[in-house]
Amino acid sequence: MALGILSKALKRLLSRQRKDSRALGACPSSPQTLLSRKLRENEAFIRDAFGNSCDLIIREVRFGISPGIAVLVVHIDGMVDTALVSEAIIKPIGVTSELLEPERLSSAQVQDMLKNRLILLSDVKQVSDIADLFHSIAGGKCGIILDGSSVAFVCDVRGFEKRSVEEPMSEVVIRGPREGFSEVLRINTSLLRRRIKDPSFWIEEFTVGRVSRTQVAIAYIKGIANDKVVQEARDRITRIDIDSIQESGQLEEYLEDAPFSPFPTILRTERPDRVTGALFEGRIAILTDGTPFVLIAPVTFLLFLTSPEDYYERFFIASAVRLLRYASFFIALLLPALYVAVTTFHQEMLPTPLVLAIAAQREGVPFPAIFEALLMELSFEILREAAVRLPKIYGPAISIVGVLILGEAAVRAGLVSSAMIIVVALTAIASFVTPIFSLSIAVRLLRFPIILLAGTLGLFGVVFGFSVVAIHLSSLRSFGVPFLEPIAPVVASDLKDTLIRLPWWAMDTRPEFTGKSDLRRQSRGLMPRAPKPQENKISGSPGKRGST
Amino acid sequence: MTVLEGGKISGRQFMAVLIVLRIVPVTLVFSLISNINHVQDVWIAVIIGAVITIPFAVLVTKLSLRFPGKTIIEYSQILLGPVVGRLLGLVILWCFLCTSIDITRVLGEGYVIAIMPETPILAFMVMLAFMSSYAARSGLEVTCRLGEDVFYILVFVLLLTYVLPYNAMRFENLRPVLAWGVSNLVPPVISDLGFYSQFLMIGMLVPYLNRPEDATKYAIYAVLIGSGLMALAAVVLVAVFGPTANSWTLPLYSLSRMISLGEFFERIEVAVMAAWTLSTGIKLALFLWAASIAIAQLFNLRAFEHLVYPLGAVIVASGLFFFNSMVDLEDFLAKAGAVSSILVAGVTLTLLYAALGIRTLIRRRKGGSG
Amino acid sequence: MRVRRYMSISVLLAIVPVVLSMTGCWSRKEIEDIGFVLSIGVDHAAEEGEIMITVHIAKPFAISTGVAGAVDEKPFWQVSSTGHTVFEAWRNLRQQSPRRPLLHHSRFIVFGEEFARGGIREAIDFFSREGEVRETNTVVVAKGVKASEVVWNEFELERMPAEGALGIMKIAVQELSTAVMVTLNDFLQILEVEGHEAVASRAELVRRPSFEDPRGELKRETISVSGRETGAAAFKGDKLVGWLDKTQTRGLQWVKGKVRGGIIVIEQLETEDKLASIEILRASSAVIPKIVDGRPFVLIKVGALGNLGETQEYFDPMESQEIWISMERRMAEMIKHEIQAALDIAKYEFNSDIFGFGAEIYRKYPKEWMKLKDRWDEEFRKLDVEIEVETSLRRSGLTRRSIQVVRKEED
Repeated sequence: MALGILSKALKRLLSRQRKDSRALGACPSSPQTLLSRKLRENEAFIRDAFGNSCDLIIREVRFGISPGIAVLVVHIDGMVDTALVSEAIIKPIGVTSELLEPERLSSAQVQDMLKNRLILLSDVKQVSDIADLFHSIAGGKCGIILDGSSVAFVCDVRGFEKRSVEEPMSEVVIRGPREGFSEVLRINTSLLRRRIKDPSFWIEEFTVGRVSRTQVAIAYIKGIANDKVVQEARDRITRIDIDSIQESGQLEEYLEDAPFSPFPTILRTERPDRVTGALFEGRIAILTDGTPFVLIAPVTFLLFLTSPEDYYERFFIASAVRLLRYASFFIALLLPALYVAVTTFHQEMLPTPLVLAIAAQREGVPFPAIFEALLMELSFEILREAAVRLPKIYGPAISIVGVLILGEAAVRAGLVSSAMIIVVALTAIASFVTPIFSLSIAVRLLRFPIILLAGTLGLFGVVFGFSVVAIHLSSLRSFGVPFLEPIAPVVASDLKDTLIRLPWWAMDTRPEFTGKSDLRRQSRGLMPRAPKPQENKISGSPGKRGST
Repeated sequence: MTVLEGGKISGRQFMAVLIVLRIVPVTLVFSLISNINHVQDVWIAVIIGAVITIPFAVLVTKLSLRFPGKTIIEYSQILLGPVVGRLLGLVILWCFLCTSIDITRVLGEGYVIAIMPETPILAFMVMLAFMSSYAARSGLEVTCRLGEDVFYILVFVLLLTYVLPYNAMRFENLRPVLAWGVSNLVPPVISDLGFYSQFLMIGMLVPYLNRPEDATKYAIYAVLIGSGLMALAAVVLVAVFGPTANSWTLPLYSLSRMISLGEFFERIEVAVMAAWTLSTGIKLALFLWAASIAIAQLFNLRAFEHLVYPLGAVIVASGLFFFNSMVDLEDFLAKAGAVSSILVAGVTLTLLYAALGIRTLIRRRKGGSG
Repeated sequence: MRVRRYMSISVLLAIVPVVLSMTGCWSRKEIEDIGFVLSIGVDHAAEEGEIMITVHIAKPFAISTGVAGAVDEKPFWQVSSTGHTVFEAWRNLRQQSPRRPLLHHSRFIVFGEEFARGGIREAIDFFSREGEVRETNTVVVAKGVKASEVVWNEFELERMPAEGALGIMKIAVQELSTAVMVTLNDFLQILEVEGHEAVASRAELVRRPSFEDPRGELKRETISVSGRETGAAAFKGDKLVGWLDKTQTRGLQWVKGKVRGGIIVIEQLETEDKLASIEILRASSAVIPKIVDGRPFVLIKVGALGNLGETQEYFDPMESQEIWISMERRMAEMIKHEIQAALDIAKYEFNSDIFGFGAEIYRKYPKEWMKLKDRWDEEFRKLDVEIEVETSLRRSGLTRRSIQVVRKEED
């Protein structure tokens, strides 16, 4: 396959580059790895490491009755809650200046006192490694360094400007929670924790990125998630050796099973309810600090075509909407190609009045249908890209110019047929139906080669293109789970929540592949029943009776 | 020795690919009906074919079950010794390749005859071989997973083609039954068995089943469903076309052209052709896979993946040069091809069972004396 | 090594545009470069031994699509060409048509009477072999005229001749049962079935009084000739042997069980010269062949359901059951009469087994048929046919009794 050849070539190119990129990245290097007993030396280390950055604050306070022991409180301005620092650290230490005589205390006692009595914070850690201290300070913690002691304390006083929890932009629902993830890892984990109040909800944290020191967390439900998948995720994350991770998309490229596939094999979402839903199906979530997009793995293809709302809406409607989405997926992928194939190769497929109507519209159009299709698709993609990147106020202007003026004028000028405009517009709208953006981009990209094939070999070309995509999809795996499950391989029990959605009380089991460790989800026979007629005294309406 | 193919397939997938394997040539050139003089009895020929095939399929399956994890290529070497076993393996491989060549050419001919006469047949054959090689290269698991889906699609499309031309059907065309005697049925039965001898493929698939104990059951199902679908096709074709049924080059394609519902739902034959393309792709992928595995096992290679694309190219080239014309191809499928593949299947089975019998006899002797 | 790697990519990249540029000469045909043929007629050409085909091709640009508004132009083009064979004549058509004519959308295959009488064998093979022709095309024979005249004969309510003819034919088949609609598939099949002769649709032109230009400002020629699609053309082998009129056609359709609707006019009362119309609801038939002492014999059983649709004289079925039953009886007689008319013309005039009695005998008594087969022409002429008709009147419309005209005294 062309993809395969291309991927091999790319792989080779990349592997060659990797070798010389080893030396990249700059860890703050210091001659020593452990803290010195001398406060001044330590202070010099810090100033040196941070290059005397303007937001570095080093405050010296004294412990105990004058002259006391010098204590350095070090933090980065803007990363910490300054009020908290003064209330919980500086003030208690200051109080000792009237009470304690440090000469009588041993160094160990001073440390103990600081850590266990004076600092009024819940998260206080003792460090002796100088790099640890630097990273903590850089990460927004407050470092406390004692004179004459080779250990320091790090306490969490982080408080920085952040976006509050808002409604997610990219996945909108009508019914369902309005909360979306934000950029701060801790807020995100709390959004999840609030939804799963059980100790079996485990979160493991990793630091990825030698310089950016981005926190990455794997969240899963112990006992439901497959341990092998969790281990696989751990392995894949710890393998990463890069200077910085800024977004989960970047991380995704290191975690994927099929790096050369146009299809994403890891799902990203902004919605906590989607993540918890996935966790209860035995999947794991990977959260990255600094981005509201959380990764979910392992996933199947059809998961990309579901929306959390499917589970909140009545199941008939939800099922119908799902089928609609699948249809839209095929329209978005194949419609222009089918149009090209049918109008240039298989005119016999159309009913006579329709074929004559299309022929009449194409009268005088200077381009062959395939070129017309490519041109229109391309111009639509340009319009879409422009509309996304423009400031919101320009949005309507673009749509007026693009859709109304351009489309109308093109038809009037006889450059394109109006049937083609209809096809392109329908395709565009259908591609917006896909709830997950990363899939809809893949579809949009694949549309073009399939149009080319359709223009070359007609329906055979479309079938060929579609088959190659299908073969490719079914050869994919996401963390060991076949990507096209439950369609290929067919898993009958999983069709309940893919092609359609059965009512909640009928979905007894978790998905076959991801929920292996604990398949059973609920007790049986939970279908609600109406009370017997004699008990039902209040409402006497016959319609409510006797339904079983 | 390293594992050539690590995939596992389910019983249902096994059955599905076997059925696809059986009905794919039918959906394009229905040799059974083209070879019979009095078409109304062709469905009986299909039933006779099924009755003969079931024991054959069971025997192949049972034999494979005696050698768990070994393909027919491997255990024929065990049973017959490295030289004779290899020779037999080569013959089987030759059969696999011949089938691949046939079906590639048939699909190409189908497109050129029916839909796009101006396009060179090479284009269709190359694309098909490319697509199938890609699937075969991805392994048995991928091929069979898709095979199951394609099977459902194919059955759906076939049933649609059987039912929708209802207003053109006249079932009186099926009478009189058996007026022309059994001799009338011999050519179609031979043709049917010729296709069924491809069930030697069972010997390649059984070792990869995740529950081999079900293999016999699913093999029988495959024969029943495959023959059922074909018998239905035979009945419908005769009902719609009457005595002209054996005049068509592509009977089922012509059948799908008869569909006409309410001025709008008609002319779906190209879509039907699409379903046939998918199923031919799966069948070719399976045979390419089997041929590559066979080569790898015959010559003790460590991987089969590299063989797939070259084999695909060889098949396209041979498909072009093997047959001069469509008449040539049909003649081969009906006569030489069918007879020789029945012979190969029969001889293979007899040889292997004979060797097995002798081996157990010897072993029992030894056990008895020692 | 590295060079080879880049070679493979660049070869791949080079192949794509080459393949794409090659496609121009393959099967691609832009929809606007196609002339969609809606019906095709076959005649003898003026030159001896040549065949003339006539087609009517749609002109898409003359069909109003709502964008350009109504076009004051004939939306089709009729054109003929000749050749030694149908295929040659068909291909010669491209000399005249700038757009490639395509038969996919054709509805009718029309044969001129003269051509059909000479046998259509030499023309029919093209239509089954050519992939563009659908087997669902209707086979028509033009009575008294060349096929070409029927092919481009216009109808008032449809802009396309083929659409008009199709509409009329459908009505004749479904609501009158006085026409047959024989698809190419049926026609070819019956040519091969032993003991069954083919029929085809019959089309003719009738002169109608010329109207004053009925469409006002539209510059269309006034139609003085209009098409009629009733009756049937009877074949023996591949040769046309004669025509069935409306009654005979319905007689044929009764036997074949293909009557779907229509009006049977009966005498209302035996004494008076008043009539009643019965609307046919449903009909069924069974042809039962028997062999008695080596001689074939056919029993035709026809069942028909009808509604009373109209009476010319006062009528009240509640008065006596007998009246209702006598009406059913007369309906049966009428049907029997129609069947007999068809039988007579087929047996004595055409000597052509258009009913397929021979085929029925073959299906039931294949061995006896072997003996009969060679002298079936005489046997058919001598064939005893018994007709049993069972009828039933179901409803009498919105009124039960008719309106009574009270005789008033004349002042």
